[in-house]
Amino acid sequence: MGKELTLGTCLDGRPHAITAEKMIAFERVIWHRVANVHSDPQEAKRVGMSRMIASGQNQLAFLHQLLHAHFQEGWNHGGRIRVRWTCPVYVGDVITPKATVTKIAMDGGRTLVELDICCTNQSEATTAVGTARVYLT
Amino acid sequence: MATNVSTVWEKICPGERLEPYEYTITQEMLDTYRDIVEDADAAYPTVAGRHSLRAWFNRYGAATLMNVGAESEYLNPVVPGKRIRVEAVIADKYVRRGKPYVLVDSVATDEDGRIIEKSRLIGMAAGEAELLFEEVAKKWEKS
Repeated sequence: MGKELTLGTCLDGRPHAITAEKMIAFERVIWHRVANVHSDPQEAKRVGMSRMIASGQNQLAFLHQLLHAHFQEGWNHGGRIRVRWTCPVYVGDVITPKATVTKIAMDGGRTLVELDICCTNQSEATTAVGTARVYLT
Repeated sequence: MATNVSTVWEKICPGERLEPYEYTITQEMLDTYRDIVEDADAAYPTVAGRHSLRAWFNRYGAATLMNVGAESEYLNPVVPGKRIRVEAVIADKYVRRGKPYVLVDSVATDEDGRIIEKSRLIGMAAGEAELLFEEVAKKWEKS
């Protein structure tokens, strides 16, 4: 596990630069579906957007990294997350995942940690928001 | 082919089981995923697999639902080379602030019976005669 946790402890992830190459690769690596607003500028324009947007799942991957870095196997075996996408993410944005501890409690003999989570962009706009919970191992 | 999303939303029934599907994540796919997300230890490339959304798309077609959120529980990391079976069900549908939403739940289990993850997609269908993303795009890009 990473740093000592108390209520209010903030976990800062590292920033991720959003590139077209990585957005498109993310769309294709596991489920190579048809061209869409996350992988094709023309498709984005067809549905009324000025440019491609990164998928919410892409931000979820950044949150995963943050939570796994701090909770290791506790995250990989029983971690839970709830997240909503609140603002579009574009090529050129820099997205940083963050988490704040909101609860630490014993639950069935194990230590449960609950967190508020979010992603922000380079302008400090929140692009994703939610909660997570994980048992310490 | 344009899809009348409103009609799809009206037609679906909570409890409807979507067609299960199977696939395999290879070591090469895992390595590529880790490179893309800049996480050398990423254990859940399934994040990019979008299990619930894929099950929905297999049944109702592409661009019929916009992913607005997710809820997931991660139980056992992916083992490269193992077949993964995804079973999904339409958990609920509702209208909020005039928008039609769908919840799609999925469970992914590997060939050894290990549950990999349980996921819920929160999806928004478009209104009648609207392109799926158009209204959201206008809202976002004005801000």
